[in-house]
Amino acid sequence: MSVLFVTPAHANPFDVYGAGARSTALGGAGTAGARDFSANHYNPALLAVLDGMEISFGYLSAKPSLKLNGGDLGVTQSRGSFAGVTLPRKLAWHRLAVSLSLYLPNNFITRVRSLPESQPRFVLYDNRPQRIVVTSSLAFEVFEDFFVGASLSYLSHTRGFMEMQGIVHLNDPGETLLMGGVDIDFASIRYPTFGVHWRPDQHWRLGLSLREPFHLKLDVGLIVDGDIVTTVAGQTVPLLEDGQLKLISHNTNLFSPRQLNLGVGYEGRLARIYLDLGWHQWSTFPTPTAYIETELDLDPLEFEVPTSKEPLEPGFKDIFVPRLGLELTAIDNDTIGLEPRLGYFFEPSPAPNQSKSTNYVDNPKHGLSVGMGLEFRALQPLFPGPVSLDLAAQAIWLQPRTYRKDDPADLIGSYRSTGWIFSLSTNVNFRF
Amino acid sequence: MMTSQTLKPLFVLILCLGACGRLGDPGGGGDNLPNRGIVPYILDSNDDGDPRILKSGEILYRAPQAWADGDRIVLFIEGLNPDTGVSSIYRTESEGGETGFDTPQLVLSAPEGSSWAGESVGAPSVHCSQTQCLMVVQTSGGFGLADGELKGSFQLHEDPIFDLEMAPGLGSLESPSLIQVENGFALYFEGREDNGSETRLYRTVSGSDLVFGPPQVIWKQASECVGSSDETNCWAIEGVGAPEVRVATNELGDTIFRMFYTGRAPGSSAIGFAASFDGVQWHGFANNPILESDATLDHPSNILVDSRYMLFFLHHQAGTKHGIGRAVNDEGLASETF
Repeated sequence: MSVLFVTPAHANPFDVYGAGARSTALGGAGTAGARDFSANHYNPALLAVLDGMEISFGYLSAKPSLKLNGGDLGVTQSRGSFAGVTLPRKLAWHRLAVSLSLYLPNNFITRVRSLPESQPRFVLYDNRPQRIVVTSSLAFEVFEDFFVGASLSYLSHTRGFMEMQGIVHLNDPGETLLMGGVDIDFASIRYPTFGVHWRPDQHWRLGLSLREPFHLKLDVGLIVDGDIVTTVAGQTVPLLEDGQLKLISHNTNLFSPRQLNLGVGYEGRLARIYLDLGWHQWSTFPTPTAYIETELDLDPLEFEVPTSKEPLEPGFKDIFVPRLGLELTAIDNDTIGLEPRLGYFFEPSPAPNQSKSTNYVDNPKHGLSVGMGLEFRALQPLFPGPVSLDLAAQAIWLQPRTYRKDDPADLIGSYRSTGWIFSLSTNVNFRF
Repeated sequence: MMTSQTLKPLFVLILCLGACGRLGDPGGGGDNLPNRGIVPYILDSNDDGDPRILKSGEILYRAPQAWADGDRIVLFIEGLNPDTGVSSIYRTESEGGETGFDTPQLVLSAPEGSSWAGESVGAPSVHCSQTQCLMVVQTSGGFGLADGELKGSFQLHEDPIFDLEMAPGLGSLESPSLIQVENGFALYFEGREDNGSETRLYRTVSGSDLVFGPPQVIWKQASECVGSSDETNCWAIEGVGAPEVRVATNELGDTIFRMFYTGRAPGSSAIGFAASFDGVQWHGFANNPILESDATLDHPSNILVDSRYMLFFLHHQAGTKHGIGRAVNDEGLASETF
């Protein structure tokens, strides 16, 4: 019924800033209302509703100004191009669609960065918007006006070790001989997304989507195996055989929680309104900092290495995110169509008060967006079908929040966070 | 069907989108981080690696106390004449956080014929309100109070404000630190019960009349280090002393009591940090000491000037490099002011 090819993960800029200019302008209320390639992200079942082949190209730029104690932390700007292609067809009376979408950031393919847990960082804006997104989806009309869709997300964990073997000369480094090798695995990971869409009549639209969680691991390490020798009276004497030093850094980062989204829409001739309610399972958020595993086996020599302190659990909580979008029909004739759009969302913060040594900063967020769609309907013969241009501007306000520490001698101390994120996105769509 | 003519504008558009990008910066998110001025302090070394901003000559300078007057740093110092063994209080200043300090000028000496103060005054602690200052000094008979102007000389009051009679069980009092609190003053100092015992930090409070009550211990070396010889994990194995307490305000408007102090071990001493919400219950910084070197560092004094935290201290290395050293912490945005 529905299987997918490739996909990328959901911990992506679309989660943070929205996918496609139309859905972004509607406050991200796309579970029942997406009608372009952005359905790959919001609800793949909606892809089967599209009338004809559609190709879209777009650009997103988001500039954060996120502050602690009034000082801008300089969180990295997100910029990137995106594209999507959707191929709907009819199979008997069933509608069927396959789609592929891509977001290609300018700055990074993917950024995984683990900071010390005490270093303050806007944890949801540090790595999450900085990654490539590749999504392919399949959607199918099961019954009349009832659609299902699914996708499979794909990326890879990185697990790499540098292994060295040989002889370590204790008092003559020139005699030390170590042969090295590098062993790196890029193990694939896949995460599915499911969606259903029902059109009970010509006006009402219902949608439900489930996005599975995603997190990216990066484990890197150094393993040294060898003998330790020394020189006594001009003779090389072994001190120990088969000693081992293991130093491995475990990092979990780039996380997106399981999300269950319910969408309702009402589509009239002059206005369309969409409402989404999403449940985000942030309680499974893993510690976003590195844990260093150290092992030293020099038996019978007695050496100890300090053990790394286990990072504290972040203790995030699940949240509900409401989204609202309104679209009007301002102009609708044979040559042109104009649709102004307005959207709003509120995203509570899943992060608890950072009263201990961690500083995973996050605030309740209010997002307000405006946009418009402009469709040119008489461009033949240059284009066989309509060409539309979507624009969206979004402002996300991070409601001020204070963090108080239990320990008066904490390195960072108590602080206040707030900020704004302004984003612009546009895409042009070609229908055939 | 798409034709080559149809695809042409698409290719143009793709090229345009690709051109919109530019290579990005790899970092981000670490600018302007809050800085409480606990760590890191970088020794203010000159070309020869000497961190002293004031070098001892005929007078041995020690026990500095810094006061920030706008962007001017006023430094009160104990000066010991090694020939006579007499200590007095000197003052020097520097503009704009520069390392160049004037030649110290004498501002307070022990009055002749004082039955309780003896011949010396030292370890000054200054609390100023605009240009008027109170100074608590250490004498042989306890702590004395002097008053004067920030730019002028000081006069010692006739009687001590705190002595051993007010601190039953203590055998010595040193290094006072005076702060103003809500209803009066609090005096922190180093004390020990007898010559063989470890030094600890004590606190006593008064009303606005500066009549102090009995002291209580507020800080001592970690309990697991008492009697230990593990100098690796117990950096203040011989005790703690020379406290300097400041009342600070953080960005949320909360009051924080900050304390830099000396931790002593055989043959060396380093500087630690502790803080408190009420001035009574103190918590040590997790990674003490916050400043150590191969020299002896003692009597820390911390100020904030032009968003830079500065730590002044006695620097004494192998009997040669004696004087007042400075270390600076200017990372991020200063988040506690005092």
